[in-house]
Order: sequence, then C-alpha cells, then structure tokens
Amino acid sequence: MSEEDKIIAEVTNKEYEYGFTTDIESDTAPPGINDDTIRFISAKKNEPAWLLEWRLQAFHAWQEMAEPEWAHVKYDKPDFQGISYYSAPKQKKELASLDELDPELRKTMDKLGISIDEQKRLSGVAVDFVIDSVSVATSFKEKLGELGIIFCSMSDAIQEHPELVRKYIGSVVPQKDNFYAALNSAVFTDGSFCYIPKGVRCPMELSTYFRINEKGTGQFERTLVIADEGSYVSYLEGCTAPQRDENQLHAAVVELVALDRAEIKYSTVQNWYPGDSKGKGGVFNFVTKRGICENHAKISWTQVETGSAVTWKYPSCILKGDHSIGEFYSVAVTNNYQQADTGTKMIHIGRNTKSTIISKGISAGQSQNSYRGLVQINKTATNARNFSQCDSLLMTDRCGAHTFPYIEVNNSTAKVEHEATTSKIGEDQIFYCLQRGIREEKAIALIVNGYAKEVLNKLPMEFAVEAQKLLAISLEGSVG
Amino acid sequence: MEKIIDIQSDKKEKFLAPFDNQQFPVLGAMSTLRRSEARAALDSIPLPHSRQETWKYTRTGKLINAVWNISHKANEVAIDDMKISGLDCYHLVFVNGHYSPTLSDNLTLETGLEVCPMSQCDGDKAAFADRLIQKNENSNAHLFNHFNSAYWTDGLLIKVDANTEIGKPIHIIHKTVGTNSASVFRHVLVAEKSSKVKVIQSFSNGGGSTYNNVLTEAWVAENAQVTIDKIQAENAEGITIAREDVRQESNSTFHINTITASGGFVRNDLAIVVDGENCMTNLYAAYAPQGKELVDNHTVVDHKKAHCESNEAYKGIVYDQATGVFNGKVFVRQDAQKTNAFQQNANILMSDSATMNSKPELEIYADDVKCSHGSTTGQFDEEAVFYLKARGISDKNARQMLVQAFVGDVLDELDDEVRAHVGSLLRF
Repeated sequence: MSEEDKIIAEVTNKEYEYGFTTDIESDTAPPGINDDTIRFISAKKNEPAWLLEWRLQAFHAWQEMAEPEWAHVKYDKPDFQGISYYSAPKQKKELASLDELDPELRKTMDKLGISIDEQKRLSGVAVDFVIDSVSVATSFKEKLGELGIIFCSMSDAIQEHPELVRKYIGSVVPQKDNFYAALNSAVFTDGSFCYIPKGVRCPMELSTYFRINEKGTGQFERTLVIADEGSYVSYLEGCTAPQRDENQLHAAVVELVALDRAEIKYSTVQNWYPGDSKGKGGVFNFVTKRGICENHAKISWTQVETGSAVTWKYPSCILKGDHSIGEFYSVAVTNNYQQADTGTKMIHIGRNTKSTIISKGISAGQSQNSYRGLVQINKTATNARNFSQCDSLLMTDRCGAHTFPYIEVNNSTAKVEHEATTSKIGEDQIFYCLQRGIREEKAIALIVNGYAKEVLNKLPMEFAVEAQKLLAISLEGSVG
Repeated sequence: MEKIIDIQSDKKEKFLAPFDNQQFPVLGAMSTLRRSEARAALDSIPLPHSRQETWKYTRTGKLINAVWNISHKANEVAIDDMKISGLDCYHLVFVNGHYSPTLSDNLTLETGLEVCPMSQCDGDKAAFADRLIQKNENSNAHLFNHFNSAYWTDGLLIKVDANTEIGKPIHIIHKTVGTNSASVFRHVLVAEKSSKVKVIQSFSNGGGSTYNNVLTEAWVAENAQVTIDKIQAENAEGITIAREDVRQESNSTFHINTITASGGFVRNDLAIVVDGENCMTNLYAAYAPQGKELVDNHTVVDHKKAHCESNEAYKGIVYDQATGVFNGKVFVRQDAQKTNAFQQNANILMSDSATMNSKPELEIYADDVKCSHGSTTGQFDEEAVFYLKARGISDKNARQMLVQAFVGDVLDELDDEVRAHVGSLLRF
C-alpha cells in the first residue's frame, strides 16, 4: 500500500468522533403527525392559543405541499409518519445553578468539549445548550439581562416575551414558505430567541450547540434573532450529532431581523453525522435560514459545513432597506457519499444595496457538492451591487462539484458579477511544498486551509479553531 | 389541480390540432416511427410553465394560444436582402417551410458534397436520412423539439464526403410570410472524416405573426470541422424555436455563432455531445433584443471524453422592455479528464425596464479539469462614455462604439462579409 492509499484508508475508515449517545430519560410523543400531535406539542409547552392556531395553519398548508425535488441530491425520502415530533429530557425542576444539572448531561457536554462552567468563567461566551428539543441550560442570562438583551430558549421567549415572538415569528420565513419550513412551523419544539435592544452592542458572542439525541426523533428548532435599531450581535451555532444507523431528519428554521442600522453576524459550524464510509445513515439537514435587512442594516452569514448525509440549505438575505448589505461566506466539505446542495439567495429590493457571496466547495470520496444561488435585483434596487465567487476543489476522480447560479437582473443600474472555477489541487503546488520538505499530507492541509482562508477568517475566534480542526479531520490526505 | 390539467391538455390539443392532419414527407420506416414516438411524447409532456426549470423565465403563451396555419408554398417572395453581399456561397432557399427550387441554386453543387431537400430524398438518400434522423436525440429535448420531430415538413440533407473541403459556404435561407403561418424544418448535416464545411442559416419573416421551428442535427466525424453561422433577424411578430443537436467524434471541431439581431420570441437550444478525445467546441453568440422582444439561449455541452476544450461566449445588450435569458450548462463526465471548459455570459442593460436572467451552470464529475464560468450584468461604464465625449464624440455615437466593442469579440468570429451583413442587421 502506498503512502497515499494508507492515508486515504485512514481517513475514510475514521469513525465519527462525536458518535455517542447520552442516556437521559425522555418524554417522547408517539411517532406520526396529525392535528392532535400539534395540539400535544403546544399543550406540552403550555403555549398561547394564537401560536397553536399558527402551527395548525402551517400544518394544513404543509399537507398540501409536495416535497421539493429540484435539488441535486438523491436520498430515500423520510417517512414523516415514522418520526416522533416531541422529545424532551425529563427536567421538571427549575435549576438554581448549572451545578444541579443531570450528571449524564454534564458528561455529554464535556465530551463535546464545551465545559459550561469553564465557558462561563473564561471565554465570555453564553451558551444556550439544546439537547434534543428543549433547552436545558442557559448561562450568562443575567449578565446579558443588564443590557436589556434577551437571550433564551424559544419556549421561554414564548412564555415571557409573547409580544416580540408574535410580532416577528414567521415575518421572514412565512409558515407556507416551503415544505420543510411549513413542517417546522407546525411542529417546532424549541430553539433560541435573541433580542438586542436599540443601540446596544452585544458584548459577547452568543452561542448555541445543537444535538440530536433521542433515537428516531427529528429535530425541529426555530431560531429568531432580532437586532433592534443600531444594535450589533454576533451569533454562533454549532452542531454535532451522535452516530446513528437510520437517517435522522433535521428541519430547522432561522429568522434574522436586522432593523435600521443593525448588524447581525451569524456563524455556523455544522458537523451532523454524515453517515459511514459506505454512505449508510447520517442526518438529513433541510434548513431554511433567512434574514431581512432594513435601511443601512447588515447581515452576514458564515458557515463551515462538514457534516450531514444530505444538506439542503440556503441562508439568504432580503435586502429590503436602502443601503443594506448582505454577505455569505461558506466552506462546504463533502466526503464519502455525502451530498450537499447549498448556497444563498440575495434579494435586492432597496436602493444602493450590496451583497457579497464567497463559496468554497471541497469534494472528496464519492460525494456530490453543489452550489445553488440566486441573485435577484428588483426594479426598485437602483445601484445594487453583487459580487459572487464560487470555487470548487475536487479531491478524487469519483466526486462531483456543481454550480447552479441564478442571476436575475431587472434594473439597468445594477452591477452583478459571478465567477466560478473548478479544479483539483495543483500538482505544482504540492510539488512546491514537497520540495521544501513538507509532507504531502501537510501540504494538502496547507493548500486547503489557504483555499478556505477567505471564509475561515470571517469566523469569530472561538469558532475558527474548531472549524480548522474539522476541515483537517474531514480532508487530510483524501486527495485521489 | 385536476381542473388545471384539463385546461392545459385542452390548450395543447387546440395548439396541435392544425398540425396533425398534414401530409408529411416519408423517408422510411425509422423516420415514420420517430414521428409517432414524438407525437406520443407531445401527449405526455406538459405545456411549459414557470415551475419547469427549462421554461423558468420564458412565457410561451403567445405561441401556444395562437391558431397556426400550416404554411403553403409561396414562391413570389423577395429574399435578396437576406443574401450576404460580397460573399461567394451556395444559396438554398426555403419559403414558408418548403424548399423553393426557383430561388435556390442548382442542387448539383460540387464533388464530395451532396445536398438534397428532405422532401425530395428518395432511394439511397432517403435511406441514409432515415438512418440518421433523430439518432442523436438528446434526452433533454423539450416539448417544441418533439413538436419538430413529429411535424417537420422539409429541410436539408447535407453530406460532406471524407477528406473533402467545401470551397464555399452553404447559405440556407428561411423566409416565412403570411399571417399566423408556421414552418417546421429539419436539417441533417453529416461531415465525414477529415472534411470541412461551413453552413450559414438565416431567418427572416414578413407579414403577420409567424412561427418557425427548426432543428438541425449534425454529426462531426473524426478530424472534421463544421462551422454554423446562425443569423436570426425576424420582426417583433416572429416566433422562433431553434435547436442544434450535435455529436462530435475525436479530433473534430465544431463552431457555432448565433447572432440574434431581432425577433419577437427566440428560443435557441444547443446540445453538443463531445464523444471523442481532443475535440474543440466553440459557442459564440450575440443578442440585442429591443421593444418587448425576448431572446432565450440554452446551451448544453456534454464532455464525455478526455482532452477536450470548449469555449462559450454569450454577449447580450438588452434594450427597452426586452428580456434576455441565458442558461449554459457544462457537463464534465467522469472519463473526461483534462477537460478545459470555459463559459462566459456578459450583459448590458440599456433601460430600467430591461430584464436579464442568467444561469451559467457547471456539473463536474472528473477531477483533473479546468472549468470556469463567469457572468456579469451591468450598465455602461459612464467613465468610458465620458472619455469619448471629451474627445468630441456625441453621446449617441460614443454609446454605439462601446456597444460594438462589447460584442466585438463575438462578431470577430464571423467572416468579413457575414460580419458586415450582421452589422447592418443589429440595431445599435
């Protein structure tokens, strides 16, 4: 076996590092979905009547909808009647401090490398930790509270700030937006809620770790971030999921609202279980993420995607206000039999709006990696400006890299540029490194990191390290 | 939902009815079978609507909702303005979908070149055309391509013998006149080993609304070189659906220039299958829709074998309330290592009501390739306009110069005479 083959075998045989299951007693709804399931979830969460009505509307719309098939992915469709739509860890008692947490839960967090108390003391990151569908621990809440920042689970927000939730929920991603958004609107169990008051600059990175835990449960979180006029927030979301044999469905909705002069930076490191090296198992990630910008507002999406068997995800910006800015930075890595169809939508409505899209795809193994993006310049968007760059890197001769950009221009003052390239790592680049005594494995890591640097640089410090580690794990030596 | 389907199939039947009871030229058993297969496909394929990816930006109501007359032979039409002045070439003329012997050159053109109207093929020629027709058919054919296969009434069979270079270009003139008149053409072009040929297709119409559906099938054998210049200059009432199905064998070159000077509704589909090593494929186009015109260019280059190169440059200037659509797709299959594929789409919008929809796509399954695409849409560089104006050139002339420079690299691909002819058709 040559050195190269050894490396390939090593990487492809590598088991999912974060694959383990936490044993916590759950309160799980029977599988299947109907009006009663939704009433059960709503009652379980003690929700107001308007929200139940809202969920039912979404559910009825969903029943009329067909699963989308336009994406460049192939998979066995999930059985929506075979999924349990509610699973909450049994945790009735209110916690006075984090120390009272279930020891099993603490262990899980430690394995993931998020020691809550350490986070609390050292890093200045508030973690809203979600296991399955219910948020079990929220830290730094008080500190944020002093500034008037609300950062809590969606369930708490519904109880404590119903007026805000009611005003903004569904305002960016309507119930009937698409098949998975409608399903999420009907059955979402929890998620995070964040409100930054006028003129406040959130002093720390807000962060949530999601995990799918209970066997056979889908995860349907709903995140709502509202940045009021002139405020700033940087929000981090990271995902790891334990190893499972059957496919698990993850259909989240994220809504961002950036009011006048507000700025939201939303970063994701996504590492759902991608299935084993034969393509068996893995998480289906069908996510709807969208933000709306008012005048002079800015929304920036940064994502590092290394996980999921099937990804279907298009974080988008509606540039409604004049002078608003949308950004999308993405690194998507697929290995083995992973399939990713991901990209963004930039909808220019306001005058002098700007958007930037930088997408870096890396395909290895027998995976398929697609960029699908829309840049739409509406008639009203005078002087709109867009720059898109989508690069793909191919690591083996059996993987695929695809680009499907949609560019719709309805205003002559617009300037829209799109560039895409596809290539493999240059042999001359590797040769250059080898010549200088850098091993091939290292050389590839070096080149890939350089290739993705533009995006990794946009991540907050706390995440950049983790993202680099993930990239290295996913790719080192997988060149064909 | 069912009601919608009912309305749809009603509409489709009304649209197809006039074409069903015609006399069609018969080549042989195969082409007759192909016709009936295509007719069956017409029944099963739904009418275009915006939810279909290939018709996302293009509305076909004007075509579907009209009642079309099958064009009748009309020999008394003027086609002199369609001839390219100064160009020494063979003229073959079709009026209202039928070959016109009086307007065309004598069919015995030169040795090594066989040209025959599809409606007049008999004996060996008919058998030859029968074998070839639709053999190449691509799986991505849309409703109107099947329409062509079912209802074509005439066209040209062009066969170039091996090791033959045809001295003069073959100019096929398509003229359709009358009100609501429809013409359906099927051309078959075969370039045998190491041959070289150039074909010019030009389209023009007169009178009321016209509908041209033209499908050209081309085989480019080993080491052969084929060039097609397509000149579309219909009026605002003209509807054109054109498709080129091309198959390239190793070491061959295929080059097509699509110039859409005008036309109410123009849809071009290019489907090039590169099925041999060391091939060269060049697709160039310029389009300049004005008024409420629509130009829709779809291209597919399918690289199946290694060491090939393809270049694509589509340049558009969209005026008034016109719409431009570009959808380019490059496939690089797993065996097509060392492919160099380049795709470019550049557009200038001349008015606030103009629309451009661009979708350059890459689907790549091989790793050792260099593929890139670029798409830009914008307006004039005002600084460049200012530069020219500062040198005493009027605003109008300055803009004209810049437009000409913008599409210049596409027009440069044409021969001088063709270029001059196209220059007079483009309304900059």
